[in-house]
Amino acid sequence: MNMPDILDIEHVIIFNDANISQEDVIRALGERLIQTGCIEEQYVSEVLEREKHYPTGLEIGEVNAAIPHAVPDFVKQPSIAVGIVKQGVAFRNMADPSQSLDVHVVFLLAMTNPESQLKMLEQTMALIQDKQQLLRLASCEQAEEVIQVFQPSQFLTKGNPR
Amino acid sequence: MKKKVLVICGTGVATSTIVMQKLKAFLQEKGIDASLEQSKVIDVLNKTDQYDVIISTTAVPSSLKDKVINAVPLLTGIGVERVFAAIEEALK
Repeated sequence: MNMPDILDIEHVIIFNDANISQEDVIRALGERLIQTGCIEEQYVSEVLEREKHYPTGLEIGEVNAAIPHAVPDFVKQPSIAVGIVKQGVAFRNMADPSQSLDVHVVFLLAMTNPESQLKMLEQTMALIQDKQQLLRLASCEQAEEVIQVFQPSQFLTKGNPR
Repeated sequence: MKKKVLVICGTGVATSTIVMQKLKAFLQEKGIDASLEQSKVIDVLNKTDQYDVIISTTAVPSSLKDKVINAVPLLTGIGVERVFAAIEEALK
């Protein structure tokens, strides 16, 4: 299962608003996954709740990322939604929850079984670890551009080939 | 005796899975034989003394700090060598 099969253009949102909250971003991305039948509504509340206790901000550098997700209970179809937050949004740091990070790329993950969605996870992490690609993602103005960054040829060679 | 390693994250599904994969590859490369388990933090807080090393992507109570190696660098790719060095040292 490659990422382009999972990342539907309907699941990409470019947020241009200033002062947008983490909850706004997660709810908007969740709404897209609900509309396409990938998750039940309850999944969004689970993610919001979990984020309070186990934040998912990842400190990468110039562009930080976050990978909000919850347990698979309310996931109907493995999927991912991507938010590019132009003005940045605050997420607490996974490594140190007392620290707040300014995040520009948000991956809302919905998985049913981690083993079967390993490739999706690995590709997401490979993308996050590739600073150039992350910068490119953060600079996207249109959903189509985001989909292009996700094309396998763009970054797969830098991931963990298996 | 084989050392027991526990890999934990907040949900036990996403980041711990990534860490497990990377850890397996690392241990294999180094020829280190250890038993690995994956779980979510809330399920294991009262039985952490069963493990020699705990590798976590999430914050843990300070009482566990001595045993816990923070694995977030394996997710971000920044500081990976230091994490692996700490794991190798702990499994000696």
